[in-house]
Amino acid sequence: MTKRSDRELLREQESAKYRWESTSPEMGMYDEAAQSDQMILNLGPYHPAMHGVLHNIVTLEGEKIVSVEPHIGYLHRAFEKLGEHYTYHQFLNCTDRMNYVSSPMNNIGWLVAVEAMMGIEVPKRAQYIRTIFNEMSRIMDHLVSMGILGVDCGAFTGFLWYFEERERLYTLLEKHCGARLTTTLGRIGGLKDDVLPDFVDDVRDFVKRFSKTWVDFDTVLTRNRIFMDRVQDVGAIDAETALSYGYTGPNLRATGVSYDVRKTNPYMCYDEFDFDVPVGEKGDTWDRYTVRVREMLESLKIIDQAIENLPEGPYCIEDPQIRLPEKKDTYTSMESMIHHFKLIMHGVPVPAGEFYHSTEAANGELGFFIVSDGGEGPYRVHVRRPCFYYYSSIAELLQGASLSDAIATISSLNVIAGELDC
Amino acid sequence: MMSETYLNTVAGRPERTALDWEQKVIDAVVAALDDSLLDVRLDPVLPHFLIEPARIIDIAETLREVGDGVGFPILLDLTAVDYSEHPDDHPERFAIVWHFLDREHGRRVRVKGYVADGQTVPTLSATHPAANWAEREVWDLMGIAFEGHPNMTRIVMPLDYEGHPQRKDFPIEGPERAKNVRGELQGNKHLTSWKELHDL
Repeated sequence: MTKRSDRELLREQESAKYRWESTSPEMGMYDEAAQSDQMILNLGPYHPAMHGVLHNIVTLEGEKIVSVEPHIGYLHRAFEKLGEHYTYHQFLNCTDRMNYVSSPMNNIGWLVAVEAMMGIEVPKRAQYIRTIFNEMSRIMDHLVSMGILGVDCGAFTGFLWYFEERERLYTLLEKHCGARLTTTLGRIGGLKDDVLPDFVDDVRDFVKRFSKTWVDFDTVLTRNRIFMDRVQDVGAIDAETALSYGYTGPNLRATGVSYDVRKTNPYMCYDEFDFDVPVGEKGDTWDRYTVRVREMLESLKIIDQAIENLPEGPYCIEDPQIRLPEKKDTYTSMESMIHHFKLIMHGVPVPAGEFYHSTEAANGELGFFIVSDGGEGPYRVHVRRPCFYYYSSIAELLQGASLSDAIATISSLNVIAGELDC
Repeated sequence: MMSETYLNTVAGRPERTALDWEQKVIDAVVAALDDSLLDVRLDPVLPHFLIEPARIIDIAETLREVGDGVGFPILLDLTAVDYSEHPDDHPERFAIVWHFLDREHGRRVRVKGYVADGQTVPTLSATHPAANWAEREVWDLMGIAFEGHPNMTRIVMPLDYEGHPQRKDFPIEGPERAKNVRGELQGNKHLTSWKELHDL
């Protein structure tokens, strides 16, 4: 027997220290599993199939899932807390970072909520341009969701095709607001700038091209036998359970319930456009996928109508107490500078009170509950995130499924960690 | 209680009379809760009920089926507000705010109940699974516990975290940093540069 070095002894002691023992309930879980035929698997927080930092502790029996324990909070940036220290305009930046896959939609949701609380009427042109960007970001969001679902089922090609189209949308956004991901689109009362003169042509081009590429997308995944077999009847949830968990948006519509805030509570100009609300039947992964595919076409219809009827006129409200002056005026005109200073330091005049307003984001009902004390910023702001409610059903949804189906199910719910934790 | 018009929850908006469906909801809630209903107001778009929080399960059941095609079976949102720094007077420090949804007509109802620090509220998670995580979030960030909840643990903050960050007395820069910086400032020591602040 050779004499062990100090280093080896130390290593042994260290490893004994970290050996799993039933000292804490969490560690006990591993012991229990080891005694039975079960196995515990940590899916995430960093895992190629967990898009975003989602953490699921999965108990497996063979390939069947016995139970799932979801852990969230890895991307918690306390936006609700920050909101209490920000002005209404500053909080707009936080909304970018919630659902970062379709940030214009969050921006618009917040702006519409604040405007509704103030009771102001935004010019038609601004509404139409917002609608166009809103629907574009819905397409962007659905492209990511569908692409990722394809990747998780082993179809990488679709993902690349979708991202090519998404890239074009990013370019359009960049042209308007200078940023691609964190857009901070719009200001309270309208938009920051009018769109560039070639905006109409750009959007027309996009509509024309996308109606063609949509057919390609449809071919590469929707009519793909392997993909169909992989997702049909997987991760199904019935309408009643979905509603009790607070499902909204495409995941609810996949179960056959036609609920769309754009139809039930039309905000902006959605009552002026002609579009349908696609619904599914079974609420399985396949339905969640096809509802999104069809929704993209509806969005395209709205964009088409909006761009063809784009009204002329101001792009922002005229009231100097609300409208943030243009940058070029801020530096050259005394009056604009004073207004700019007042607006940045003291914010817009939002009345004291409590107000809830929601919009239809790509993932469902995005609501803002604002408590104001009449100050420069919200006294308390709460965000009703659609993902938070989907994801709370994950334990029930995945129970009894196989591990590979679970990946497809989580993927089809399109849970965005930034929105989930907020 | 049964007045013609109702106060608006947003200042500057006029008092308004209840719409048909709003009046039906108000009548049903008044009949079901009686003394536990403290106030009825109207938001610009939805009715707002102030109740004793202990009665939330009853009001949720009343709202589920009001009759005549009006019913709010879905819990849309649940959150809490800390009123400790609010300029107006409030009966207690915290308030829990529930939003219920009638998805067919896109109607919403707000229910609010004031709770003191340390007081518990009955959970809705047995009848409305959507409340499960929302209540955990309120416990985590605001420190209001829900009675009968199956798993009243933290959800977004780490499990061993101390304090409830959404409370108004929780400093935005975090308790440790706030103690260092503010503690020194209180001891009659004035900072002369940002570097000094950094060194603290």
